[in-house]
Amino acid sequence: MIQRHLTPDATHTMTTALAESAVSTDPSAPGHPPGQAPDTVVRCVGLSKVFRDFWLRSRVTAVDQIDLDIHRGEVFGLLGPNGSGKSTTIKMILGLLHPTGGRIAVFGHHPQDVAIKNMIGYVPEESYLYQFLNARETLEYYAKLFHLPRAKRKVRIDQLLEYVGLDKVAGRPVGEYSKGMQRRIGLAQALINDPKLLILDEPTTGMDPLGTRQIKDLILDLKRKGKTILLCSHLLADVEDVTDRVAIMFGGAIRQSGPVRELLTKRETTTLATGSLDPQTIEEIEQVLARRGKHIERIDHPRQKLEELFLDIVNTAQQEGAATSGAGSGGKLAAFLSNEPDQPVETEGDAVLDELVNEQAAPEPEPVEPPAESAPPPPQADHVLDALTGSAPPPPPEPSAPKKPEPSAPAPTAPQTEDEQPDQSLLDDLTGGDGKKP
Amino acid sequence: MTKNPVTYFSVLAAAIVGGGALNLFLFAQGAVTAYILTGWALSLFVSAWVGLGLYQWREFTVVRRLAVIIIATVIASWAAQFCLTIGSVSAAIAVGGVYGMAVGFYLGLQLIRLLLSGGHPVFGVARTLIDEAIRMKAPLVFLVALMLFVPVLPFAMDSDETLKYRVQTFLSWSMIVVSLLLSLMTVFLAVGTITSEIGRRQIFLTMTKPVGRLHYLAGKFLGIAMLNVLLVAVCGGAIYVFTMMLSQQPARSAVDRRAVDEQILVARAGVSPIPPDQSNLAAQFNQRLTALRLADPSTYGNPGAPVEILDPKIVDQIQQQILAEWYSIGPRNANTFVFAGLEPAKRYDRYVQLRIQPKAGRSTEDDRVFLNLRVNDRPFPVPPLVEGTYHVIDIPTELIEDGRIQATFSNPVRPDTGQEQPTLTFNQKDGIEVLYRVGSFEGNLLRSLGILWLRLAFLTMLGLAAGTFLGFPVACLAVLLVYFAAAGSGYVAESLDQYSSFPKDTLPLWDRIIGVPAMIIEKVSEGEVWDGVKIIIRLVGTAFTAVIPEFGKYSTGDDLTHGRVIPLRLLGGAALWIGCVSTGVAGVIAYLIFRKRELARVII
Repeated sequence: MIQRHLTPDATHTMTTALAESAVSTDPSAPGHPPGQAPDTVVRCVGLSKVFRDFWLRSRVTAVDQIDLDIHRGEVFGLLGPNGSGKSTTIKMILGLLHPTGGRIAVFGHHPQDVAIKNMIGYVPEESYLYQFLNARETLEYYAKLFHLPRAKRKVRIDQLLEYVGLDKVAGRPVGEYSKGMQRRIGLAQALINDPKLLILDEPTTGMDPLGTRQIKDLILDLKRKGKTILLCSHLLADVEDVTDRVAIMFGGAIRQSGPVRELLTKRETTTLATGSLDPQTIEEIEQVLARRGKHIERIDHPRQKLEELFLDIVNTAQQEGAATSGAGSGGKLAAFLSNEPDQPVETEGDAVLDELVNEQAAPEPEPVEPPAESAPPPPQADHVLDALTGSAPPPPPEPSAPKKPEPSAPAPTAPQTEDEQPDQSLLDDLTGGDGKKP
Repeated sequence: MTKNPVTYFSVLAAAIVGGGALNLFLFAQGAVTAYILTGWALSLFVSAWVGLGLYQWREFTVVRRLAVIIIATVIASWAAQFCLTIGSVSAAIAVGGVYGMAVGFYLGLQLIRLLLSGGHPVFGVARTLIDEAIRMKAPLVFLVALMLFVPVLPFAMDSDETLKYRVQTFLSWSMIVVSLLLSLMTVFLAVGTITSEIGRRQIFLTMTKPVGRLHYLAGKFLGIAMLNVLLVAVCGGAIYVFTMMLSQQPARSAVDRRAVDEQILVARAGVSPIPPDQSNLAAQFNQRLTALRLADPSTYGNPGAPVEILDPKIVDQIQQQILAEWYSIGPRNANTFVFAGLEPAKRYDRYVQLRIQPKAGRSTEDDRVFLNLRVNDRPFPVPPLVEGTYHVIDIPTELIEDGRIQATFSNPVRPDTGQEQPTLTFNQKDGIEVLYRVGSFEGNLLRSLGILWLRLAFLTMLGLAAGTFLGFPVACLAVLLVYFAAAGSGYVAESLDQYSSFPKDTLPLWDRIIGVPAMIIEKVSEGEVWDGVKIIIRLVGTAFTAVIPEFGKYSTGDDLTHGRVIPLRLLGGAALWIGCVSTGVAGVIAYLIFRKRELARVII
């Protein structure tokens, strides 16, 4: 799919059915060079958990012989409805439950090995915090559990409080916090040790959209810094935005797993995004498609997501200095969350994408500038079509998209598979590459 | 207002010194109105200046702590002033006591926090537990009760009673209540901290950090143990201060005053009379047994039969009778009691105390008895004594010869009526003894508090052990059951002994083990099923008492209130058996259970 981003109100999206081509998948986790076996951070083999009743009779098979590998540097999503075994699996990985069958290795060790806990951060499904401690004391407590010296504790706690936006209310007991604020402090405690593996169990539960956005940004930031993240959620939209691979559980078993992009791609459909088109141009395009035996199934204007609208409003209010007794907007990622030099930041997916963009489309700048300030005046749809059909010179590279920029998110990293490339013959038709004009 | 500390304190010092000097000058000049006005102005300025200083540097922890103490001081001063205004001096003193305990506790708490500020998981867990104890309602109730009870108790005494009685009652009740409240608080805190963290799943976050299960338990134990050190110290300090304060109140008589000084606020060692030698006792036993056998051979056996055929209870009964007679003085008869090992007494005091409790074989008209006494063959005057009451006769240490005192009591006819008195006896246990000072009340109190802390340490570990696998109510009940059984271990053992028949303790262990089922079968086959069940109940009770520590052995309340020394070896024994063995066993059990526990387990 190629999207040529213009301003939101000048964009048309067309969906059409294309012939499905062969699928080429890359089973290795993003972030690892091809051919190099990725390091496995978590490995579960034939993992089972049966809960018993008081008389030790087997009652519920919460996890049923699952196999799972989570690789270093990837964001792995564990999905499933309530009671599907996600949290049980996580608790076994954390050593809070003992498997009744199978094996688990975390960083190559038994999950109850105390030493590996130094490398793990855990955000549980609810805020299991001491209500009588304030935010600073809470982080102080968890920092001590990691043997951190006093000076380092102070620096990290200050940075984390600022990051989660609780630095102004750090002296209030956690019991007085709203649920979302408690979730934020729960997140901060999971980062206090600069973990290599971050396990997030329903991390956005109780969070406002701002906090949810922050969690997603955090996940992407940490991934960029080489961390491994296991994300467990049933909020599929959140997971889709950030994960590299997912496993979908039901009834204690993994029903399907693989790279997100691969699982989600509808190979029988192609979407073209362009500037707003007039009916005549659409008709011409339809004629082109008709020659290929295709037809336009749907024409509409993309809408801004409610999340984007909400974030815009809140950001504006914060910039205006509106008062709030709740959590602040949060600061930048805590500096101590270190980058790992042995982990390549730019992935193979980045390179492939760059190559595709260079070869097949006009180069795009990094999508970092707000569109309202940096976007040039929208070109007329006719000009776009002219450019596509070769009747006019191609337009200059367009700036960023209407999509809400993710401040610290890297460029898309997954490799673009063959089926995701547009049908070249169709493009040739549109651009007149085959000598015909519509 | 300046933020420069040097300027700030310079202004403060100048105000105090300058204003004070001005005030003194005005006072010397007799300018009363000006003196009062400047005094008020100076007080207001200093108060405001200090308040502003505290406010502007409030972000500093030390300043916040200082502010808390200053505010507490001001409130306590107002309260005490109010009490004095309404004419209640005792209430003002009680307020002062509450304030002293509260500030002492607060300062101690800061010290503990400082000690636990290191970056180790055990310290982290311990420090959080301390915060839990002072911020959660349940433990706080006990803390407040402790701080109110001790300062108020001295003023609840009946002022018509003797001073000795009042001081002893205060000491006794304050130690009992402090021990009880601290024990209950310890049980609820130890059990509650584990069960609530598991129940509320806070433990998920802790145990997914690099914290071993042993570290977790050790941190919990350390936190409660340190809190108990502080509370025992604060309560002990308050008990000491109020005991001293109470003892300074007017006594009803000189004897009353001496009783307080020499029988309570001391640590005295006691020496019992040397018992008759075994050969003498054996001869008397054989003589008595022969007479009984001749009179009743069906019960005691034929003369010449071996003693072993007798029930041990009968043998013991005869022996006790002979000993009781040895402690008796018949009408117009005399008995000599020798006390040895008194040489150290000369080092501590000029007197030793001969403490006796004469009991009459039958009641006397006026409950009075008369005794004549000779000490090392020198006559020693003894006033008329009240029957069944303890009396102390001071004997100069110069009468001690070779570390011995020989006291000969005779039972004369009553000098007032000329009638013969009944046989007079002394209780074998403490009816007659010589006491002498070997230490101070302060040392005694310290050792008593030390033993109290060791008992609390055991309760802490027991509570943690119970909390690792039981719910809060069940665990509390189980720990309290053990606590009361341990406190009354002697009574429980005696009750079990009387409850049902059981193989004799004199039998070899194996025979006793075999003997139990044999006895049960025998009872059941004879149709006495309930007796068989009672044997099983006694077996369970015996096993239970065998594994719980014997707190009764280390009870110090009576010794403290009666000015008897609590020996260092008792403290050492408590440290070994309660502090190390019992607490260690409970700790091992707690760890073994907790190590295997699935913290996120769900029971369907």
